[in-house]
Amino acid sequence: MATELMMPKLGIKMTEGTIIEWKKKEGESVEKGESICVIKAKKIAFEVEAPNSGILAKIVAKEGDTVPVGGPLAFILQPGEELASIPKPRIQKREAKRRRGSERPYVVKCCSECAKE
Amino acid sequence: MARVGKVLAFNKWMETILTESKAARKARGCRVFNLGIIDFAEASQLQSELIEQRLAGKIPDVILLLQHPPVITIGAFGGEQNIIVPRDVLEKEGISVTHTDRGGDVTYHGPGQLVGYLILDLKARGRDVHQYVHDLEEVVISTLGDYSISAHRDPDYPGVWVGQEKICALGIRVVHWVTKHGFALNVNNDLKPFSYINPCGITDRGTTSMQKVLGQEPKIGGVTNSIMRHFSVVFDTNVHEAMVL
Repeated sequence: MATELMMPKLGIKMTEGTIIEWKKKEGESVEKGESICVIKAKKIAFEVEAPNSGILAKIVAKEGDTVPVGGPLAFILQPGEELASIPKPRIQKREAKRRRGSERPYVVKCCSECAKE
Repeated sequence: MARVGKVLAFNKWMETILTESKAARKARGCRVFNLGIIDFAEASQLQSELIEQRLAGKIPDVILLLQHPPVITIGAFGGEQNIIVPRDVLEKEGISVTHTDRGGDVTYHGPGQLVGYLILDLKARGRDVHQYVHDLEEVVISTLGDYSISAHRDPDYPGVWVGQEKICALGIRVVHWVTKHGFALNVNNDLKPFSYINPCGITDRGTTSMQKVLGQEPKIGGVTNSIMRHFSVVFDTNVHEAMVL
């Protein structure tokens, strides 16, 4: 299965991060837990780990790019897999779902009567 | 000779701590080393060794408190363009220049500035790097409060400020959720070398020190004790002074 490397959320207040450096090039093999890129969030340089072993097939966020939390940075493929088989970034769906969720008014239920109001 | 002695004493500590029982390690909490004045490259080497051991779970959280001989360091986000005097000026003043992997831009370290390098595992502290920065700033602000210096954060610029002037710089790297580098608090160091750079890439702000604010020289030992006390409170941990040199 292709694995999507996403912009990690490094704290409650983090909304986006900037790619400072790719430590691996496209086509290089990576091991799970290995640092593959460095991101900048505020004053911090954070080393992002590979979520899975495989081949760093496609880098979608270049050095200097700012990406929202959960946005795609790269794809890691297993041997034999091809780029064309990469699924659509899941984040878009999840983000859309979250947005819909937040638009729903917040109702405090204490009994069935109140909930109707 | 003194520097060799420090590294030897440090290595000896590493040996003893590796054989410590789990209970003893937990009771003592975070370890603090006062390394005195130590070369930037040498301290970086010690940090790398500590991170390796911390990642392997062999040692507890560690703080190194130290001072550097005059050095300008360029962080991971920085560039040489923020050094605004020719290199021969720096050479004449005995200031070396080096690149480092911490977050942030260009800064200066020198004797009289208290530098704290923290090797903390954030996996055990909620995995929140912003909270970590906030807490670290809190330790410094509380310490300055002990000296009746009113310091604050700035929403636009990390670090700790007195008015429009920076008194403490922060620069951090996180490796597999273990922190590296830390803070640099101007206690009674010479501030002139900050005019050779755009500190942290900022051009419209100044730099200050505790001595400049107070009008007298605070003892760096007292500041060290204050930092340790507030660290213990803010980070909710015991602090064990492991080595005094």
